[in-house]
Amino acid sequence: MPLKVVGFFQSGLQDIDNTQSYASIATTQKLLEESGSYITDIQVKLKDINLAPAMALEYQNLFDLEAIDIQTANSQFETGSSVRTIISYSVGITLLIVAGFGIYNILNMMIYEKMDSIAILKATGFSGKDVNRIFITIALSIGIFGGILGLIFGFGLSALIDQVPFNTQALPTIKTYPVNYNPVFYVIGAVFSIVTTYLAGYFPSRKASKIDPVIIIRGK
Amino acid sequence: MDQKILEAKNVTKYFHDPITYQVLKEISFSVNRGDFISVIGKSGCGKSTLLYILSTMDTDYEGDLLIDGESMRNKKEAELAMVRNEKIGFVFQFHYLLNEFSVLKNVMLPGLKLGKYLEAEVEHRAYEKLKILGIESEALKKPNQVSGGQKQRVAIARALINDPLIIMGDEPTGNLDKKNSEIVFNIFQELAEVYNQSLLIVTHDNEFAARTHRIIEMEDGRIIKK
Repeated sequence: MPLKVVGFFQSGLQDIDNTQSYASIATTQKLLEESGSYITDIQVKLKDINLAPAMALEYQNLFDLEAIDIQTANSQFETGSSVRTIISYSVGITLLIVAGFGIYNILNMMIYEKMDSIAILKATGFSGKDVNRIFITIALSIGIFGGILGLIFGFGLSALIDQVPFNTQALPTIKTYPVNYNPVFYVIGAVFSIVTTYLAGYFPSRKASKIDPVIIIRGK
Repeated sequence: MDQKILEAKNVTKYFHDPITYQVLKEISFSVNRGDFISVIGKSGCGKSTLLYILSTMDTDYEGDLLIDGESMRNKKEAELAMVRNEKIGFVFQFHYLLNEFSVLKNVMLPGLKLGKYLEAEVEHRAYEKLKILGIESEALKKPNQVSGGQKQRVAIARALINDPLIIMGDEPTGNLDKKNSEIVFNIFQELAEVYNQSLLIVTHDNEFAARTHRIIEMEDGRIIKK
C-alpha cells in the first residue's frame, strides 16, 4: 500500500522520532488488516488535568475496561518535579533563616545602642508595650521595604533571564529561557519577607520592652 | 497651698545582690504643692534609690506611695507609665535627649504620648516651655548641636511639657559647670516661685541645697533631718 509523506513531526525525543510515524485511524486499521471497529487506545485530553484520576475511575466502571490517568502514567515525571520543588523551597527557606538571623542581630545591636533612648522613653511615660511596638515597627518596615526591593530585583533578574537564548530541539517554539511570571510567587515572596522580619523582630522587641530604666539611668 | 501631692509611707527597700542589705528604712514624708525640696546625704545613703521609688520606676519596695492621693502599690506597669507621663517630670544628671529628633520634638515627645492636646497645640506649648527657659532659638537644632548647659535646659523643658504635679531631679547639675548650674538653679527657683511648681531634687551640692525651701537630709537609709 503506497503512502505519501505529508509532513515531519518532531517531539524532541530522538528515539521516538526515529521509530514513530503517524497515520489516520482508517489507514492504520488497513495496515494491520483489522476491521473498522478495532481500536487499542483512546486518549482523552481534559481542560483541567487534576480531574483525570476521578475520570479514569469513572470510565473504568462505566465501560468495563482499563483506564489510566495521566498522573499514574507519568508518575516518574511527577516524582522528579516534586523533588525539584522541595529543593527550591528548602533553599529558599534556608536563605530566609539566614536573612532572619541578620535582621535579629541588627535589631539586637540597635537595642544595645539605644538603651539610653529606651530608658528615657520609659521614664517619661512610654510603657513596655509602646517600646515593643516601636521595635516591631522597625522590624516590619525592614521586611516591607526589603520585600518590595527584593521583588523588584527578582522581577528584573527574571526579565533579564527571559532574554537569554535557550535553544533545544525538544521545544522548537521556545527561543529564550522560559520564565513563569505568575503573581502567586511574588505574593509568596512578600508574605515570607514580612513573616520572617516579624519573627526576627519579636524577641529583640520583647527584650527592649523589658529594659528597666532605673538600671540604665543609675548606671550613668 | 498645703495640699499633699506626694506621700511616702514607711517605704523600706532591700538590695539582694550581692547580699541582702536594707537600703531604705521606713521612710515617711510628704511633698506639698509648690514645695521646692532638696534631698542630700552622702553617696550610698539611699537618696537616689528613694527618688526612683518615688518616681514609680522602681516597684520593688515595701510600704506605700501615694501620688495625688492615689496609691501606686498595686498598679500595673502600663498604668505606672501613664502616671509618670502625666504627673511626673524628670531631670537626670545626663540629659537623655534623642539625637534623631530636633530639640523641639524632644520636648514634644511626652506631650504627644499623653495625647491630651493636638500635635499643633503640643508644639505651641513646647515653644512656650522653651521660651521660659530662654532657648526657643535652638528649637529646630539637633540636641548634639547645642551646648551641655542648653541640653540640660531642654531636658527641663521636656519635664515641664505635661504640666506635671512634681519635677524630680537626680543630680540635675552634676554634669554642669558653675555658670550653668547657676542657670539651672535659677530656673528651678523661678518654676517654684512664679509657677508654683513642686520640685524634689536629689543633690550632693550643699550650696545648691541650702538655697531650696526645704532640705531632707538622709543617712544610712533614714531621714535624719527634715
